[in-house]
Amino acid sequence: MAQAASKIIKTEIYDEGIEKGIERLTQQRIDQVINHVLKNEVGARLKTYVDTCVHCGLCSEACHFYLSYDNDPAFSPAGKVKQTIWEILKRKGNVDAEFIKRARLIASTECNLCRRCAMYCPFGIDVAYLMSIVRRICHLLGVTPKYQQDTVHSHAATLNQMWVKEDEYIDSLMWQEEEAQDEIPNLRIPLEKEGAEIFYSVIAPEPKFRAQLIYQTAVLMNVAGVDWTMPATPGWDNSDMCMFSGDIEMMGRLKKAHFETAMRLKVKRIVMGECGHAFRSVYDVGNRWLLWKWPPIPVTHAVEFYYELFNEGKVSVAQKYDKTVTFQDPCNISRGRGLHEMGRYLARTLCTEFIEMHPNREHNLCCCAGGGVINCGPPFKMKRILGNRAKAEQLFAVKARGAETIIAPCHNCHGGLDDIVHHYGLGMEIKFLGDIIYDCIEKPV
Amino acid sequence: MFNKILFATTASPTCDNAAKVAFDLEMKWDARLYVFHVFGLTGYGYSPFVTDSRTGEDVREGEDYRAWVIEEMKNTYAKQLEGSENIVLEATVGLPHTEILRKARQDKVDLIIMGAHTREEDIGATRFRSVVGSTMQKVAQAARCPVVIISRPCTTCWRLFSNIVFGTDFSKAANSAFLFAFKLAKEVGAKLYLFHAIDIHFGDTGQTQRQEVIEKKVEEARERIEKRYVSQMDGFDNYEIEIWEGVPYVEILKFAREKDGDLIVLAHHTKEIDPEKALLGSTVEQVVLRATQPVASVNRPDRVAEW
Repeated sequence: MAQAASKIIKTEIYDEGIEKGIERLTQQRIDQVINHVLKNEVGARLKTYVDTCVHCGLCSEACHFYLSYDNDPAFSPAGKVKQTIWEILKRKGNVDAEFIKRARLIASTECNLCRRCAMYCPFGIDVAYLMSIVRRICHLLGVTPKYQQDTVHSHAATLNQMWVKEDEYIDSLMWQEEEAQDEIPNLRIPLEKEGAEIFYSVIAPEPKFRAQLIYQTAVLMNVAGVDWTMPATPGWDNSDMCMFSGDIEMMGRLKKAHFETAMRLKVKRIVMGECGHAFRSVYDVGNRWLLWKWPPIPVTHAVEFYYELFNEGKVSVAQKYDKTVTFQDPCNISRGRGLHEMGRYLARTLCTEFIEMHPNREHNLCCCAGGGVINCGPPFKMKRILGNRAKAEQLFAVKARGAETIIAPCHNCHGGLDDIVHHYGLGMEIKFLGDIIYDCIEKPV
Repeated sequence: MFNKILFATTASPTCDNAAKVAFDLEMKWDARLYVFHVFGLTGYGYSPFVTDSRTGEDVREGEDYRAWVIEEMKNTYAKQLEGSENIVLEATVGLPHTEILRKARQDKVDLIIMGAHTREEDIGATRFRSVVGSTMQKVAQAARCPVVIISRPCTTCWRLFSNIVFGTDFSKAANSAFLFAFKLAKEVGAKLYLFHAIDIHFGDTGQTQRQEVIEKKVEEARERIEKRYVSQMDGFDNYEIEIWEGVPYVEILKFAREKDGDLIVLAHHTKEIDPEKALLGSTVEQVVLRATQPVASVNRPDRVAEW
């Protein structure tokens, strides 16, 4: 493994977006952009973090990249900061194009913004924030991995992540409604229902490729008798790759469209599907960029919503899922929102046997797909998989204790774990809570 | 009867037997044939790249790649495409069963034709298999139109079918299967066999049934067939009723072989809602695996009722 790791670091990964981006750079442009960001976009937060850090390195072992690449200090959170933002500050922005390239690679493909390191820093320094600033600078310099930039283009053009056309989206909902009516004849997926209790929002891959997830939600909503709706206009997608590429103006536009859609429909709250990064964007980052300390309309993540339904007895379990499960805590809803106990409540309610992986809850290791890393595409796939050997070891340990299925209430976790399970030959099944809920709940006959 | 036919293919030799039937139908029935290939499996989250089902490589999905895949399909089916005008080649990415069902719904197709399984030799199939194996199941279960599954060479042309075997479990879905079998038999002038197998398999509990109980059940089944199906046939008399006892999928295969059946028509494991759960218990699955003739699975009246 030691060899594989060092090989990866030394091998140049070619990414057209980054390479073409740095070709266009001039020293003047770099100076200008960096000084603009440092002067106008950051303030006390950056200064506090930078001035407080004592370079102790306690954050190192928090990072899955560091652990997986044989404790190479270049991969420790402090190491990444040292190679990027500190250097930028030290040199007052006087860095060259090669430096920008390296900075982009570090911030976007060697850090998932999972914030595990913040748990281990004696001062609670949020390294993810520092990496976001680096990403922001690179975005303004036009140095972004090609695949990620493509997703951002889709957001800009369609307000969703996957170039889903408006009629295509609506048709997918109608289709799933028809399918589900086979099971529950009077089932509806209410479109544009003004004044509904809940606006259910999804990420674009659901209507595009995983329509089954919408089907399952429709069944759950109908069984639980929830007053809900989905919009028929752009603004239905809650995902946000712009937040991760550094295109925060676009992030703001997306979140604005999302909130305004909810307001137009006069709903009481937004319930989101099982996605982590979208939650971070709607509940934490995007809303704050729009100057809302808290979202203007209450936002509930699927895990919390399911918890309510079971806890209030709106749905009940007919038959428990009979394989031994373990729970993958997605960073954005566990560390970000503290939903880990609710997730466990659901796992225990729905499954006969639940065992913990270690570490867990807010200390869980990242899947290595989040933070926009999986969206950097094929060039970086192996770097990402090898960069999470630690996760494979963690999963192997829980598998050795009997776990067969991993519950992962996040799309990115699914993607990341799927690759890890295949690459390391773990042979475990990965499921959404929604999959298990659909299988296990009492449905009208 | 068939205006639009959807041939869902892996564009590999696995589907050659199915291809033969599909292109044949297009010609004989003067139908529009969609040759539809879901060539890549997407990851979770948003990934702009997909795993190509044939090469096993991660590729960038986009117009260019799609055009290239279609070009490849043209080569694969070059011979069949000669001289036919009413064929549309399409390629897309996604979960195969989802995309096939989406396409079938969008274009309101009358019939879906597909092969049964991906073969070992296909590169990249290992990862694809977990879904491809069940693609047939999921499509057959949810499709609104008949689904014909072909895993072995079908030597008889549809127009010349002379024996159609309809197997029933008396479920609601089986009514639609009957309609399809009956209408097809009438159209092509084939003999229709109305078949039911009494399930006397009780697992490994060692229980047995008394002969008179079985015989009584046989009698009851015959009456049900008369009442439920024959009454709908409106004077059509080229039919025969048969009730056998045993393990249903074995019996129907034996029966089809004895009668030189050209096509077996069934409803897809209607007793189970979730195809995953019925994976091995499914009669259709077992029949498809072993049958030498095409198997049609019909679950819903939507399309068949219109003919």
